[in-house]
Amino acid sequence: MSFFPLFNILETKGFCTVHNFSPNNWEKSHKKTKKLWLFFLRDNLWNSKKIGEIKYGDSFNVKMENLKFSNENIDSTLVILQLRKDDNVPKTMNFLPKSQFTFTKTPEWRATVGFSLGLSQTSYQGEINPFPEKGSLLTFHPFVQQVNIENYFVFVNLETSPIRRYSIIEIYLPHKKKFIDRVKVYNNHANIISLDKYEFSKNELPTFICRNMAGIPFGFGINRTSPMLSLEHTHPPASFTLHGSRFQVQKRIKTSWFNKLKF
Amino acid sequence: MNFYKKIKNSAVRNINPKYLELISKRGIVLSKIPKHSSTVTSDLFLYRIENNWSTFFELLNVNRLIDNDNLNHKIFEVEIIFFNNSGDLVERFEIKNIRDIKHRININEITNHLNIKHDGTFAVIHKNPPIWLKDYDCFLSERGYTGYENNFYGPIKSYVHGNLDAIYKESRGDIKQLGNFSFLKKKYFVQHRLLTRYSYDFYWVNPTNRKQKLIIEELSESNTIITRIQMEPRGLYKYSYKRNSNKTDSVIKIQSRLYMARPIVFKYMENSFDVFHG
Repeated sequence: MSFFPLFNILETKGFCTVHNFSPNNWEKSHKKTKKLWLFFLRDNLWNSKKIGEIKYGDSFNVKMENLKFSNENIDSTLVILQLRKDDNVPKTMNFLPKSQFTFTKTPEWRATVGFSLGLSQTSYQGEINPFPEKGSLLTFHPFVQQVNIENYFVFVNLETSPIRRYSIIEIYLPHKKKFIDRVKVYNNHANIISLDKYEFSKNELPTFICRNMAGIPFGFGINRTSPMLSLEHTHPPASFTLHGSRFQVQKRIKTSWFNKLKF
Repeated sequence: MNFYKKIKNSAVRNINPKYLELISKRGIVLSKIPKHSSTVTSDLFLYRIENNWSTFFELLNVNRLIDNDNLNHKIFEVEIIFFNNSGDLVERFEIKNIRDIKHRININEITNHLNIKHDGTFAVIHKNPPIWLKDYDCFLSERGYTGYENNFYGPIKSYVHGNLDAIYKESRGDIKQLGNFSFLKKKYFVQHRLLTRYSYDFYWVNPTNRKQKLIIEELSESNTIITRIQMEPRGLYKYSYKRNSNKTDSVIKIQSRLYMARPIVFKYMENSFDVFHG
């Protein structure tokens, strides 16, 4: 575990509840009060701000709407949180700081990352580790809902470098090898792509490719008539298999689709 | 596969995981390695059909997504195996000649057809997995996406992905459990704070081949509620937390011999619900 993401999706209000207790008792973890730090982008630098302390066993809820950035604009919709030991983190940095703790892996130490709209909320248990700049994305997106639901693809990228760059997400229907669209996406950002204009049917499987940026892909839905939100992330291709050299299989699957799907 | 991985794989195949854990915590392996290379594994997905709930499964043609050069994978078929909350196999249901790359399965239509009346779990077993997966010592695995809907809350589905490698089907047709468990008691804390203004349901599935005892503790500043349960292999257990403004916020702790007693959580708000992995 390194960081926890906090962002809004459209007019929903993002929140992130960070927990200072381990998900298990059999992997090493640090059982003391931790400091909660916030990192955000401004002028191509990571800026830091301490926002609180969490006693062991407690949780801390951070709401996007309550954050104040000294009346200055920030450069991204994504801010991130990290548990740390120290009180002194440089105000501005060229790289995100490394974690100071050993955290669990089974499962990863996670926060409750969520979104509110009126009385409705949706959340997932999540964390985010910076992606390598040479990463890529292939994901199959099965969450498009049809009746009175707005559908979005959300792509969240985090990199250690604060330098702004962009990439292109390509959208295809893989069974027809049909190119649908290309959309610009940014690093260190929660990118939101509306899907309804493409009119995907319930048995189609929109597929998203990004050849030089990795990130966490989500399906996000809103029902506005009876307000309710729907959110879930999709798996990377390695999840189609169990045991063995899954990541070599993933590489083979990605290479194959990257070669087949071109516009 | 490198030398270290080969040694580890061999140890995992041939030594009881409980003993591996005694050597090193790094040796903990959550799920068994099936003997036959063409074995297909699946999560045990929760289906909810009682009290106006509907369950959908977004079935993908994973063979084709993995092996898109092979024209044999253009049409696919699966077997859906239903279990009750005691882990007994209730029914098997085959879907053949699926031509779509994705097929939304309405689980309620199938359970109605099979006269299944109560909530339980189901597995999805794909046929004819790509042969080359064995070159990587991998098994085809179904960890797909289940959508839940309730008319009371409107037409939107809330989705949750599978990630409990629970069962596999042997070539003779027998169903075996994949989950390992420990000699030692483990604690699992759901890293989610239960708020008193909402109600929650927690669902646990036992992916092991032994009965498992769980001690569920609901911990708040004011008190601790302890519930002791037993789950049969492949069994399902539901624990409910009711909204109550006299309570204080709580967390859930589970003691068991499972390495990761991770529940699926349903959260009920005034006019909506949410589902996620705990």
